[in-house]
Amino acid sequence: MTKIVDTNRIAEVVKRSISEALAVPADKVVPPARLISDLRAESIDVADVRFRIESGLSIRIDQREMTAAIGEGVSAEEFDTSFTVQFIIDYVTRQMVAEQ
Amino acid sequence: MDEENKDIRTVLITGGTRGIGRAVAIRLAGHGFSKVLANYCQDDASAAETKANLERLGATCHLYRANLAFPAEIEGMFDRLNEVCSRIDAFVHCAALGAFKPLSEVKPNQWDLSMAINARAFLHCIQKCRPLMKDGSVVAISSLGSRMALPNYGAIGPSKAAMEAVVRQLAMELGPHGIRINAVAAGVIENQARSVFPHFDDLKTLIIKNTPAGRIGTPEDVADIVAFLVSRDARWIQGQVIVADGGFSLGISGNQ
Repeated sequence: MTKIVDTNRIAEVVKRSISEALAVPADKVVPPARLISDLRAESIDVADVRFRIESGLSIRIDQREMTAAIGEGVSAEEFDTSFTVQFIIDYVTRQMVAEQ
Repeated sequence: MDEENKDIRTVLITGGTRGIGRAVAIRLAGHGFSKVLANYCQDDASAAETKANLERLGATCHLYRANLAFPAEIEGMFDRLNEVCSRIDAFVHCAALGAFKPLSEVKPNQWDLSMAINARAFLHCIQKCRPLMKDGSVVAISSLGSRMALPNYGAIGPSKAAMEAVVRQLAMELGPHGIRINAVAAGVIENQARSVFPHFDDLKTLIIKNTPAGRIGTPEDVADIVAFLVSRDARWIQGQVIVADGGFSLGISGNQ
């Protein structure tokens, strides 16, 4: 069945999932915010964010594929810089488009 | 449905495609359980590999991708499972999740996730299995952290303690209906621990030094005990937690 990709809704669900999982105020969950160094996400929190996005958008996200999309062999610093709220919104959007 | 055939024994295993869950699936498939219903949360590749392994052993395998943190997904899994199965003979709860960090630093969502998957989902699955089980056996994979303080074990220990309380309570409630419920409290298992325990090599050395068996546990060590607990040979064991750790919890061993 073809899903309609509503980019506003994707952004809304991703931001809400991050805010609720990490217990950070919604106004701190801005597109350039880095999950690890700005929002203090730990590995289990990233899984929690994923669970909430999957539930909210009825999709499946492979966490290893998502983090690998940042780039193979990147340093921890480069990973942190790239792993932002906007990165997750873009990744989820691409996944939903690909599912169509 | 072929479950009407009494010769076909069916087991449901949560977290059944990796680690201890996979070892349990393979062990049971090779010893009387010809239908394996394996739940997993992600990693389709591991799931497909486990399914292929089981089929090589002559078993039928059905995979159920469901995130047990969400009750609705458990309900959905059982809706799908009911399409191929009208009887479950054994249920083994291997799915587990937790943050490896000091309990004093665990955040509310991390506590909730451990409790949801390690304890609540266990109860929920038993409730859903109940109508499908006539004479059946349930085994939960617990850990030493339910009774011992372990470094950086986060909320996993408390959630395993809750799981063991569920085992005892339901053994009392469901025993009269022919259902046995037990747990295996496993010591540290190498393949899983390596990726999650900080400073694993130091921990491994410490464990081996203090384990009379002189080594660290494997998924197969645990799977063999699960196979015993779901067998008729264990018919007089009810509501118990079997410690399986090579003797680590006995105290200081003095292995060199």
